[in-house]
Amino acid sequence: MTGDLYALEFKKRRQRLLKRLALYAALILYAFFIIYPIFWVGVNSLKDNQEIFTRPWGLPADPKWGNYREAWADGNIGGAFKNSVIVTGTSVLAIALMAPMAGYALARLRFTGQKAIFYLFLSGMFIAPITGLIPLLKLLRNLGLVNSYWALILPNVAYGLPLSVFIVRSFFVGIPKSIEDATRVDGLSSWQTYWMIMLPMALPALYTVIILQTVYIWNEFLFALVLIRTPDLFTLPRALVTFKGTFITSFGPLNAAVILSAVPTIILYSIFSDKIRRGMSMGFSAKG
Amino acid sequence: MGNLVLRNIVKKFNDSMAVDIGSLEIDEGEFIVLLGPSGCGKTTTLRLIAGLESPTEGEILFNGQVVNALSPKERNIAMVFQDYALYPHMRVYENIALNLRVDRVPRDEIDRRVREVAGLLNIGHLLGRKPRAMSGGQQQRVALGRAIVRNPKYFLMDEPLSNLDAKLRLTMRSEIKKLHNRLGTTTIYVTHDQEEAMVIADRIVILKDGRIQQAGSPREIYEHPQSRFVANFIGSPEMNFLNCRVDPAEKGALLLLTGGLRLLLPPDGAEAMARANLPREAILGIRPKNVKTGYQVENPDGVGEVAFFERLGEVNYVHFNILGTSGASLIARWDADDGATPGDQVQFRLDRTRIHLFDPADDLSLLGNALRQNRSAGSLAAIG
Repeated sequence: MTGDLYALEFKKRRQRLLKRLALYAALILYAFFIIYPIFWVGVNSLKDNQEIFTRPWGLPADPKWGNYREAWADGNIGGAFKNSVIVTGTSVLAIALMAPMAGYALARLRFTGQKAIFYLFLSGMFIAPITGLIPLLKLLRNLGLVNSYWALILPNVAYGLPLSVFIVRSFFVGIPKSIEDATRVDGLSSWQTYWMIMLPMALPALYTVIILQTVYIWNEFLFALVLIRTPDLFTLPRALVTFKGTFITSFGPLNAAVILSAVPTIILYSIFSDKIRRGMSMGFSAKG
Repeated sequence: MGNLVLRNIVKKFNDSMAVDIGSLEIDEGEFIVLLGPSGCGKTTTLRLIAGLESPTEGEILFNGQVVNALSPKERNIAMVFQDYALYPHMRVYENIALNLRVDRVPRDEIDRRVREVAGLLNIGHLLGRKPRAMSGGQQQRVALGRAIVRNPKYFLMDEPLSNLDAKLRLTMRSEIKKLHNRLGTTTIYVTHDQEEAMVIADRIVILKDGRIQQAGSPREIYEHPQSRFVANFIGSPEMNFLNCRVDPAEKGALLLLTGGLRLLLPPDGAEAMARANLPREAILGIRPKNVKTGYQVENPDGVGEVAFFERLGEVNYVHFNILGTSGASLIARWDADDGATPGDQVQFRLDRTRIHLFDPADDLSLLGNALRQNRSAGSLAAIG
């Protein structure tokens, strides 16, 4: 009897171990497919063309650090970096200001059309930016905003708000009602309640929004391709395209530019990966 | 007139009646407990007093002034919430000081008052902590501190102990009572725990389905419940109930028949009942402590078979089925040191002076009503 129990327990343990091994193997394989291309680009950013074509998989025999200097200075990656910082910074700041206010109103205040407005925001999440590109181009041209920072900032804010409002709203919904009651008893005005209590409490959701939108807008390519003409205003993803044309035979500096443009997002992800994970689950396990 | 008056208060949510408590007067310095089961309207009543809800009908008066239109802040009340509602991003000091900051009290005055309150509640060492770094009991003290620091006219407490473990609840409820004795602030306290209400209240208001069932001192409510609901809700273990028939055949006394039992009521009570035009069917109620039980009892009313013995340490209770009846059972206090064993036969006798009778039609007390109508002393002790 006892022997049977031991055998059963042993079988269960072996099954659990096998399951775990299979899971780890799948995750390692998946991580390899994600990490290796970045590693490959990084390795080849330190080679010249000849070495890239003769030893594409090997480590650089004599690392060419000059590729980075060449990319930064000659490929105007420095200027594009500045443009990306301005566009991303302004857009994310605008989203970070507006999303919590809209999210708070939609979660906590009662007013006519509240649900309609919320669904309108939600519907924004289901519209692919490319479908509205031509009307957007016409609109911005009529407003005289094409080929300016605003041509990128305004659409980025508009397309970034729905998901951001959704995430922040679901966080506000989860805050106990008694907290707001306590602020009323304490004599706080609506604005004080929002600014002194609710917004600080929603900071984890706001961090998530900031990180997600920073990564998304930093890498945004479509608007930058269609709405910006002057190379001086190119953001990093757009500049890389030009860069490739100019240095068609110099893959080393091209790879160096790719790495340079990816560095901020990689740093952001490494530092805030935990917050990003929590934020994503927060957004998608949201209460209605 | 009371210091705080609820006059014909009705509260509806989307045409659904939440509270219809009529009128209630609360005197200055009183510790009132609103008691009732979940959904009885006690928290809604508290929120109406706080100004967090507006009454659909009726008036709320503070010191004779109607406050229906005033905000919670303007009513000068402080509230302790069930989940404490502390601001999690603020330290204890800031949590307590916030309402003074909003009132633009000078900074050194805020500091003095916060530290004074912290000293009173023994949380001085916690002022630099955030709520999540504290135990439930400590958070509860901070919530009390936040209420006390503003020196309000009324304390409103919404089940403030329900999130604490049993032992801490006992400690905190005595501390709240001591605090009330010390500060003397009128307190309205909501709970569903009848034991807590009995210990802490000057006066208990029992609610059911949004209506006041009875209001009175803990002793009055315990000893003279005006309805079967109140009798059942107050007291632990709960009151025993037995169906019975009132037989007016005998002169000077009424004969009650319940199962195989025959109880002769004393002349005073019988006379009162006779004048009250009692129905023939009634429900007899008696508390477990008023059922004398043992293997040998003087003049027993009947015999029961032990179903279950409950040993609580300080007191013990025996649950038994009355022999000769179809399923009638009683819970009784068991005073002997040795416990009873399931299956044992025990004798019992009901204390005639502690019997309650309820009308099965509306569950109201018959003896209480009969005695009131008879303008007698109004005490069941009269039925002696």
